[in-house]
Order: sequence, then structure tokens, then C-alpha cells
Amino acid sequence: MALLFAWQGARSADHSAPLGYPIEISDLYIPGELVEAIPRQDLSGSLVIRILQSKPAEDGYRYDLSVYGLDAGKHDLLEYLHYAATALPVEAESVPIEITVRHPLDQLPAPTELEARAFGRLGGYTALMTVLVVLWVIGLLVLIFYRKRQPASGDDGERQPTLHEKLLVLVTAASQGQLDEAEQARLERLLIGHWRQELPEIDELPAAQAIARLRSHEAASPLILKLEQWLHAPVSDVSQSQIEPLLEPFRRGEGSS
Amino acid sequence: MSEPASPDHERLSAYLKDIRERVGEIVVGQDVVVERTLIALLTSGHLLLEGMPGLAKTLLVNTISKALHLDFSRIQFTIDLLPSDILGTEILDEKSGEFRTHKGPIFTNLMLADEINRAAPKVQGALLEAMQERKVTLGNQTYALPTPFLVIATQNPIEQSGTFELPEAQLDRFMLCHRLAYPTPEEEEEILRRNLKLGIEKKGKGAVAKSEFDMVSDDAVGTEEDLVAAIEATHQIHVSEVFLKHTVDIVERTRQHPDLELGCSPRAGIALLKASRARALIHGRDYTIPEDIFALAEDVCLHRIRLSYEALAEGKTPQEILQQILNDSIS
Repeated sequence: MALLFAWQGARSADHSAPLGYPIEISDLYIPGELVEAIPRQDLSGSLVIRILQSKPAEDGYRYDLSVYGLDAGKHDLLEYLHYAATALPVEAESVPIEITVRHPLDQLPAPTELEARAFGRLGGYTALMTVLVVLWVIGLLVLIFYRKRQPASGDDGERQPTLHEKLLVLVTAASQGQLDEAEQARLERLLIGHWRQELPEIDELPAAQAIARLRSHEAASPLILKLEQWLHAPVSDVSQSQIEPLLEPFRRGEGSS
Repeated sequence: MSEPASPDHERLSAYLKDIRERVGEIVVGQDVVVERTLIALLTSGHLLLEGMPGLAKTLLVNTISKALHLDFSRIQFTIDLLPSDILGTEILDEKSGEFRTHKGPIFTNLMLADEINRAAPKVQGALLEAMQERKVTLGNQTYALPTPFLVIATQNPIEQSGTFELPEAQLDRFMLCHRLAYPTPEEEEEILRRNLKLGIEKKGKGAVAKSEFDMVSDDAVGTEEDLVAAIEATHQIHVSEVFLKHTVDIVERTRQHPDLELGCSPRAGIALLKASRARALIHGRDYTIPEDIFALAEDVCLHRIRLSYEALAEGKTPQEILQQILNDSIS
């Protein structure tokens, strides 16, 4: 009588729990031979059953079980058990188990299948450093060559007049008495430069030494000294008319004669 | 070669030539330094000499001072030198209980400041201020320095350890900065020959080997009036408008050059003009010519310009840049 009462008690118990929570069932009487949980062959089972203890009873056994629900809804516990000796389904009244969820069942998202994905690129430090070094070298080259080209870019537009062309303009103006003091100074410097170019032995000398040599040079000194007298002496006995014959070869483009 | 305009210029040129010859009897192969020293003396400028030790800098200044009959003092600049060691100070006289002024070695006509960059900046500053103002204040009294007053400072361009480099603003106070070169092999031989002939000097019971300093004659060349007349004549040397244009052109080019971070100051232009006048007198002219500018440009301009970082990184030197500027001006 007591056993029957217990059996009925266990059967009528509310075996319900939220999804993922354990349901502890004690002294569940199942007549017949010893039963065990059917091993899971795939992921289709809705309950996970662990038999904690089994105790012999009259014509059957009493079991302590721990059950986890994987799918929401009502399930029959006995569908997940079979006789241990014969692996036949258990023949007894069903033991309902209810797995509850808060959301309506039809709105529950279905589990997504896991997909095998390739790992992302690991490391990459060497490649990153290589890229940075290449960029740095490119930047350096751009800086160097851009700076080198800058001065030249200003000269590309128009051809710079040669020393003789510059001299010709000034000598022509001098013959017409149209030189101001700045142009006279320019003429004097260009004539020094001209003679320096004409005489290979002084071309490489520093400017100061070159001028000193020009002042005593047989061909250059007449013009250089007369110019000094004309342009710098406080009381000059050299007039423009005396300078002009010396400048005439430059006007004709024969400066070194 | 042009002739001097007046007999007075001729006489003064001969006087200056005699001084150079007197120095040449003792110091071999430093004609340019002697000329630069005379230029500084005639224009009331100051001279900075850069060069290795042993190039007869002290002997040169000593000889010039004796040839000109001027007072001479030499100060070896060291790290522990104080401004009062140069300028002087006030000392308490225990007997009278009053302060007595003790004038320093700066109260002289020619002062050799040896290795000026070894002294602390405050000492350099005190000297350079006195050089500029030509007077010294000790206590409450201000004393004018003797005339003429010329400082010839030296510095070793190689040694950097334990030195305080003169900043550009103070370098600018030196009218000229001349870089001393080693003598040529022929000059070196002459130095050795002269040294062999020095002999010894007997003193009492002992004897001592003579040095070049013992050979310096105490007889002055000319008189003090000659020096004053030479200084006066320097300031009467004619400078043409065209020469001014040359000067401005060179100074302006140093300011425009892309490799120079700092070009010549207006003081450089003035120094170039003054030095050119003195050089003209020394060379027997009563007017300046372009050769004066080009000959003096390095000594006047080089210590006043500063290369840009880019030019330094490219290995350029101030000498190269200045030569380029001078070459550009005549091309």
C-alpha cells in the first residue's frame, strides 16, 4: 500500500523545470528489470538523464534521477530509458516531464549550425615592419630629390644670360654714359670675372688672390687699374673716354683680345 | 699700381711697411696676420686669431707692441678666471681704511687674450663689453681704457672639451677673425735656422738659452704721433659710391644664400668698409678698391655667418659657401 502510494506520488509529481535547469526525481518506481538511460547517438535527444542511484524494490527498482531538458515542451521520461539487460523499451506508464520557457515556443530561435571557419592571419609583424621601412625610404627619397630639384626648377623657366651677355649689356650702356653706380659696380665685378675665366692659371684661385694677380697681369691690368682709377679714386685722371677703348673689345665680343 | 695721393700717405705707408718688416725680422711667414693686426689697430677694431698652439701668436703681438712702443699684456684664459682678474677691483687699504682701485691687465694698449674660449661666459662677457665700450667701471668709478686699445684674442678651433664657445653676438664684436695656417716648408726651415742662431745668455754665474723674445728690439718704429697720424689717415681714405655698392652686394648675398641660416650683420658691412680703408693705407693707396673687399671678406664675414642645418648635413663648410658667394658676385 505504501509502495503504491509512493508510486502514485512520484507519478503525480510535477516534473517541470525551465530549459537547462535540472529536475531532481527521487524514488521513481519503475517495475521490471533494471533500466538505464539510452546512450545518445546524436544531438536529437531532448532530455539528458543521469541515474544517480537505483535501489531494488518489489518487482522493480526505485531510481533517483537528474534530468536536464534541452528542448522546451512535454516529454516522456521513459522514452529515454531502456532495460539494461535487453535494451528493450520500458513498458510502464509514462512519466511526463515538462520543460518550460518564458517565450512562446514558436518564437524560439532554432540553434544555428556551427560552421568551420579558417583562422585569421596570425602574426604579421615582419610584414608590417617591411611595409613601414619601404614607406620611410620612399619618403626620404622624395624629400631628397624634391629638395634637389627645387633650385633647378626656378632656372628651368628661362635661360640665364652668360657672363659675356651680361657684360655686353653693361658695356653698351657704359659707352652711352648710362651706367648708374650700381651698374658700374656690376660692370667692374663682371670684368674681373671675365678675366678670371680667360686666364686658366688664376681660374681656380680664390677670388681675392685672383684679383691681386689680375692687377699685375700684363693683359688684364691696364683695364682693371684704369677702372679702379675711374670708379674709386677721389680725384681721377681717368675719364670715361679713356675707358671706352678698353671696353670696345667686349662690345665686339672679343673680350680677351 | 696707383700712386698714393699725397706725400703724407706715402710716408705713412712707409711707416706701416717698416713695422711689418720689423715684425718680419722676428716672426717668419705671418705677413697676413701682421697686416690684420695693423688693420685692427688702425680702425680701433679687435682681432680674433684661430689656430693651433705654437704659431708665434704671443711673439707676434709682443713684437708689434714694441715696434709701436705700446703697452702689452697677456692673459691666459682659464675656467677659474674671474672678471676682476681682467678688469681689476677695489681693495680695502687697511692703513687708510678706504678702498683703493686696482686696475686689471685690461688697462693696456695691446692685450692678448689667450684661449678666450676657455673662460666662463661671464668673463668673456665682461671682456667683450669692455672691448665694445672702451671703458671699465670699478666700484662707483668709470675708467676709460688707454688709446689705442686693441684686444687680440686666440682660440683653438680643435679642442672642444672644457671650452665655452663664443656665441655669434659676441663673435660679431671682433672686427676680424683670422685663421692662422701652419708655415710653408720654406718658412719652417727659416724658423729653424733662426732658432739655431739664438745662442745663450749668461746671467751671473749661470746661463740660459735665448728665446725669440730676447731678439725683439725695444726700439720703436716711428713715434706715437706717427701711429696717431696713421689712424687719422685711415679715416680719410676715400671710399667711392661704387665701392659701397660692392660692399652691400657681398653683405646682401650672405643674407640671401640658401645655405646660410645667419648672414652678415650691418656691423659686418661697417667692418668691411673700415678694414678696407686700413688695408688701402697699408698698401699705399688713398682709396679703396675691390681687392680690399675680396681680401678681407673671409676674415670679416666668416665668423659672422652660420650654416643652415641642411648645409651642415650635406657636409658644406662656411669657407666653401663664402667662396661661392664671392665667385658668384663676379660672374
